[in-house]
Amino acid sequence: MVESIGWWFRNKIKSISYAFNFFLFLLKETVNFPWNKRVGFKVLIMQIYFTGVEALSVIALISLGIGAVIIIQGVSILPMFGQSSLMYSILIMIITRELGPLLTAFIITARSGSAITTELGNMVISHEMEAYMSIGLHPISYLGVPRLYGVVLAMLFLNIYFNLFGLLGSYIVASFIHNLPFDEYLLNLIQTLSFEDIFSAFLKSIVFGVIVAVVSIYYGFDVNRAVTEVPQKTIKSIGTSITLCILADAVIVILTRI
Amino acid sequence: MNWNEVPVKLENITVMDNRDTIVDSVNLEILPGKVTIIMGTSGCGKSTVLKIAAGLIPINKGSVKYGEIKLYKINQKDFVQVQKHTGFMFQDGALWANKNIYENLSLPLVIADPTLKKEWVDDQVKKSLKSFGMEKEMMNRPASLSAGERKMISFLRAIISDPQILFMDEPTTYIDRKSSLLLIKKIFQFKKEGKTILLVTHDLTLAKSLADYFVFMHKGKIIVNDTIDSAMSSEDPLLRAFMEDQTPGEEKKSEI
Repeated sequence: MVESIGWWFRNKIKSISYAFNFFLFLLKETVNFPWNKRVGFKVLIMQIYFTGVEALSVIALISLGIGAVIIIQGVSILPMFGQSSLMYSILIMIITRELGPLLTAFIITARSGSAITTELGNMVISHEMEAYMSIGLHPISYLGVPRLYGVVLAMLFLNIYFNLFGLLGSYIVASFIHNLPFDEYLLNLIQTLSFEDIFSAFLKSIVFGVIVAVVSIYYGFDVNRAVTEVPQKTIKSIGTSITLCILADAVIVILTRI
Repeated sequence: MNWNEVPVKLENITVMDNRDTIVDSVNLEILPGKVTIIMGTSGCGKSTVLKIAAGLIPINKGSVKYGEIKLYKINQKDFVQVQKHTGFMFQDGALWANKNIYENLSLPLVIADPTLKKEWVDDQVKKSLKSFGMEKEMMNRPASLSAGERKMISFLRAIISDPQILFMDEPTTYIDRKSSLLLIKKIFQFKKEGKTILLVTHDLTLAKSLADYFVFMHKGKIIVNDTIDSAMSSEDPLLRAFMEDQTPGEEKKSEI
């Protein structure tokens, strides 16, 4: 019993130390990436394509729907309290500051984060990582770092895209209800939008992108030898990414609102 | 450093998987220009020792030295320099599934020397594939090849940059007789050229004909480490029992 607790404790310490060292190495290689001659630029391009370009339709559909729902709810409730003028602030608050970055992060976690963990995990099992080592390529530098850059860049662009479509969705509905001219809608939005809103949205995109990428890559490399580990690690990767994104969101909101 | 004269030394290597000891205090010197063959029952740690010697998997204790270079202590840049001079053939091929055969074979060349011209690299890949009659597979993905073909490509990938030190994990398994003979011929050629070879196999006939040194492992430990002639006449009971199991049926019948 005591021996088992000892081994459990030892393994926990070992895995925390491994995770910490993994993060430090990934960070170091991420900084070195632009100057590294042996980097996988093809991997980076493919990651941006898969995470960013292929997710456009999903993001467009979800953001259009969210934008429409917000304006319908706002238009029905706000006039009851004589606060119709708050509609634009609510749109900016929800789409730009909150749901844009967070929902984009969730979509990327579900699509790309899970794919990254699965792909890397399978590569560990089929000894492809060792094959990279055998020719002098470190798998974290060659496979992990381009994925990190790809996910962060895709997250940034998808967030902008989410905002455009979310605000467009709300305009389409608003124009049906109020026959609102587009230039008036746009002007009101721009007048409401502050630098803090944009800064907060970008900061969240970068932080969430780093979280999703690092967690997915970490769990992919954490697969040891059995095929059955791959779905287990993928589930862990999705759960951890979502939890950490929500925690980071709370921290950023507190910091930017104080 | 003259890589023709570099010995590979494994000193007091221990590898653990949770509470299980996979490799237990292994000491082994692979002499330059010689063929060292590791044999042993399945799961005795042969492939693990091979991968440790090539610096591919982490170790819990000990050190691996290439001459004066401590493989597990050097930085990434120096590791690349060492790997330029080594080639590793994997037991199951371990080809990169998302790359075609051309990319699988050209990447080691490009990594070893990023300044190489594409035409030269193309030529090397074509020549390499042609030597095994596999040129038509150049643009195919590994998934479309048979296990034997994948193994051959893994062999070609290991030797394409002409390394001085070769690590091979059961090179002749899964391969048809014709290809196997071709591969063995190549290995003998490398031996003649004075390359350092560490090879894991279950093929006793190959071991007897190819090895300069013979290592027998049992439960993560090295039991016998000697020249092939001395090892074959060893009275170690574990080795004798192992040899008895490895002797082909016909040979056994004739012995009876």
